[in-house]
Order: sequence, then C-alpha cells, then structure tokens
Amino acid sequence: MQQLHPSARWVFRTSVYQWLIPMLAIIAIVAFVALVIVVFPSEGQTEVSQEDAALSRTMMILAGFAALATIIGGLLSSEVYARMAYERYLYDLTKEGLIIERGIVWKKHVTIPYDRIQNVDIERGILARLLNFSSVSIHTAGYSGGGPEGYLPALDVATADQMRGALLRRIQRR
Amino acid sequence: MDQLHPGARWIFRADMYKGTLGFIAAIIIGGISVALDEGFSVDVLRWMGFVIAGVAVVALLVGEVYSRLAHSYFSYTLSQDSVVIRRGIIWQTETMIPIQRVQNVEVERGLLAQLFGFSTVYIYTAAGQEEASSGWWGAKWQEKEGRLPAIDQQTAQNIQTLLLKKSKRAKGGL
Repeated sequence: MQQLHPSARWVFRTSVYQWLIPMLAIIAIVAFVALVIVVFPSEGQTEVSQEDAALSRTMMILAGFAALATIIGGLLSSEVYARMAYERYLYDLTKEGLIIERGIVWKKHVTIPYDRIQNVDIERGILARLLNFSSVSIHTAGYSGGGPEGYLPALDVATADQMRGALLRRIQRR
Repeated sequence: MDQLHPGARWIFRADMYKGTLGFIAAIIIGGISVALDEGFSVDVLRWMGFVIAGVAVVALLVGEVYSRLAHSYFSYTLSQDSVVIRRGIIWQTETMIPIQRVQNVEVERGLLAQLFGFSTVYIYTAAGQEEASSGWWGAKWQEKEGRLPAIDQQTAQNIQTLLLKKSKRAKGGL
C-alpha cells in the first residue's frame, strides 16, 4: 500500500478550517450586537444605561473567549485529524483494481475495477501549486453525486501523471 | 496541445455576462421600487442608471480579462488512446478520457457558435456529469468534464468521426 504526498495533511487541515468560518461568523455577530448595544442608547434615553453597558461588556468578553477557544481548538483538532487521516489514507494498484483504504473511525475500503473507470481528472488548486502536489479524481460508471468515487487528495506531481498512465494502460488491456 | 477557436472567448464572456444580468435586474427592481416610494423621484432613477452603467463597465472589464485568461489556459490533446482536456485559471484541472470509454460525441452549434463560426463538442462517458465540487469560498467556475467550448467547425467534425471510429475499434466487437 502506498501513502499520499505529505502535503495531503494540508488538504485535511483546510477541510477542518472550513468549519471554523461559520462559527467565527456567529461569534462576530454576537460581538457586533454587543457593540450596537453600547453605542446606541435604548429608545427615549440619551445615555446608555449601566445595565446595558455591563451586558455589552459580558457579551464582548464571552465572544472573545469563544473566538479564542474556536481558533485554538480548531488548530489543535485539525492538526490531530490531519495527521491521523494522512496515516490512514492508503492506495494501491492491484490486479483487481485501484484500492483505497481510508477513514479514522469509520473505515472505508473501496476497490475500483479498471473496467469501471471512466475518466481520470488531475486537479491543481492554489494549495496544490504552493505545495507542489496534484489531486487525482477517478470517475466511475453508475455513480451519482457526492464527488468522485476514487479520490486521492494529494500525490506527487510526477506520481499523479504516472498513475494516470498506468490506469490508461490497464483500461486498454481489457 | 491544441488551443480552442478564438471564438471560445465569446463563450467565456457570455458566462460572465449571464451572472451580471440577474444582478442588474435586481438593481432595476430595487431602484424602481425606491423611486416609486419617493414619489417617482428622477434623482433615484438617475442614480440607478449610474450604478447599472458602473456594474456593466466592471462586468465588461472582468469578462474581457477572464475570457482571455480562460482561453489561453484551455487546451486539449487528442492522442492515440485518450483525450486530455486542460482548463482552469486558478483551479487547474486536467481531465483524461480514455478513448475506449467514449460513449457519445455531440457537436453543438448555438447562436454564438453560428455567429463566430465554431462548434462546441461534448465528449460523454458513462460517468455522471455531476461536478458540483466547491472550493473554500463558494462555488468555483465549473466546466463540464468533456466539453470543448469552441473548435473550428471542420475540426469538430473530424474529432467526432475520429473518436467514434476509434472508440468502436478500441472496444472490439463486430
């Protein structure tokens, strides 16, 4: 069994970071509400009341802690997740087909027979070009939605090209 | 490595303009309702005109840059055993379709195609044409897997016959 390119960890990390954005957005809204409370006095009043100021302060402090906790927790969990996911993402080209074994808790072992492979995509996004890797997607027949059946998040650029060539050769043999 | 017909730029431009039309429609609806609210204010309508002109100019500029980049970053190679389509400015994708897997080849000529003298070629495999993956920040511009937006008419015909002939031969059969 082969391992992915080490930069695959960055792909896994960013998949955790995605979850942080909506959480930070909610926290930012709370902080904004706190700001509005302290800047605009309630109706009929010329000054912000003592209670409102205290409420606003509490909200700000809580939002600050929440943001800090989210960022630290997010960074730590993404690091742990990325390392574990990387260790447990293996692939190989066997006689039967391409096999992929992945998953930390819920394990998934897929075998994609060569005669089911339709087209092969090599993708290179921003991250991939910064860290010099390619993602490979293997599309199969009779598959609906939820991304490609065979997905290798990060392979060495040359390895990805070789892999595609090897798949093409095996497709033709039958 | 073959480039697309220069008319492909019009397809990419049209992609860009399509997105802007909804935006402009929203501005018109919003502007007219505000104008009516203010007792049919000509000032509001004038401002609406300026905003629309501004949006149109931005759309034209962005469309120009995008279409040129998209055109120069799009290339395809027809080899003995596969079709490789390379596309994408930031998220670059290289799709490899083994000729053996080609199910159907469609040549389409829409309005733009007839005006500028090119054809659009669709190469279908048995894999679904889903491709709904999105990057970090929302949906990215997605092309259909096996689409060649603009090819010279004659070349398109040749590609169609060649691919169908080859895929038949590759599959064996009668």
